[in-house]
Amino acid sequence: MRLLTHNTLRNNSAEANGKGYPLKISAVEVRVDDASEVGTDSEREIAFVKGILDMLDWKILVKAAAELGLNTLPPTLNENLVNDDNFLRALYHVLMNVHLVKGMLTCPDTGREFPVTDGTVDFTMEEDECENVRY
Amino acid sequence: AERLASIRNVLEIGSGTGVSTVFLGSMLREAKNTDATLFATDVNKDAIRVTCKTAKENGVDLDSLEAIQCDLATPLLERLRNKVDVLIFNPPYVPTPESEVGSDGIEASWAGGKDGRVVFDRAIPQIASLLSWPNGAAYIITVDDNKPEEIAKTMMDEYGIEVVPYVRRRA
Repeated sequence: MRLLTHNTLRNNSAEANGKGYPLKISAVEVRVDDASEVGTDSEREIAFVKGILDMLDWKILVKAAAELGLNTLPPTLNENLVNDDNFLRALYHVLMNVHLVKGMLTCPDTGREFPVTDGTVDFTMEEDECENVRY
Repeated sequence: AERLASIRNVLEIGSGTGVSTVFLGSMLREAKNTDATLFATDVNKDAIRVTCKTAKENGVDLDSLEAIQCDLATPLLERLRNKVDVLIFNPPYVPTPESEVGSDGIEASWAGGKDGRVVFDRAIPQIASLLSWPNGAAYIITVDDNKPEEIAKTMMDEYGIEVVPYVRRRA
């Protein structure tokens, strides 16, 4: 599970009442893939990151990265960073190359746990939890 | 080609083997769309594993495909609200007894309860909230038992979403 994915997940069960995020990460096994060499791939990566910037909840990302042992993200974004190619490439690496292979995501409101095994998170819930899912 | 180039978020609910999303992923790659993120969900753990494998084996960079094991798109609802440009859903559409619905085994791939609509009906509000406006599109498979005209009417009356029959086949 990548940090980009973690950023999109919430516990949307009725119980959580809209407070089902940010999901706290307890990491057991993390795998970091190599960052790409500077070259044509970096153009793609920079374009990709620019495209998803407005979709990211930055505070949640910073906290989640720290929970995976990465403390290098700045606490807030600013104009300069957003236009800095080196920063964007580094951000791509953090979002896409860091994988939580084994661990647990915990809802901060209800304490419900969602296990991560073999790199994928199991978010299946019981039917009654799904009944009043918030939209 | 323009449409392919403008797609940012793809979501497949119930990806199974992953062929649909991976196929779309390879089309996006050919159209040089490098900005798209692909999400795939399925209740079945093996399906998740196979979806990832299918992506890898077909050169759809795992970079842009994330698979999440869950019911419909439940954990993604708030964050992807009105952000999904292409949604793919091949629901369990076979009319079956109610008791067969709701497992996470292989039956989840076909068991649709009364009129084969039980799972699909739960997905409708999720799909309506996820699609981007004005051009977001959902590609969904139904059989006549699912009463597609009724589905079309509900989508239009309750969500203002137009349902257009795209292809019809004999199975």
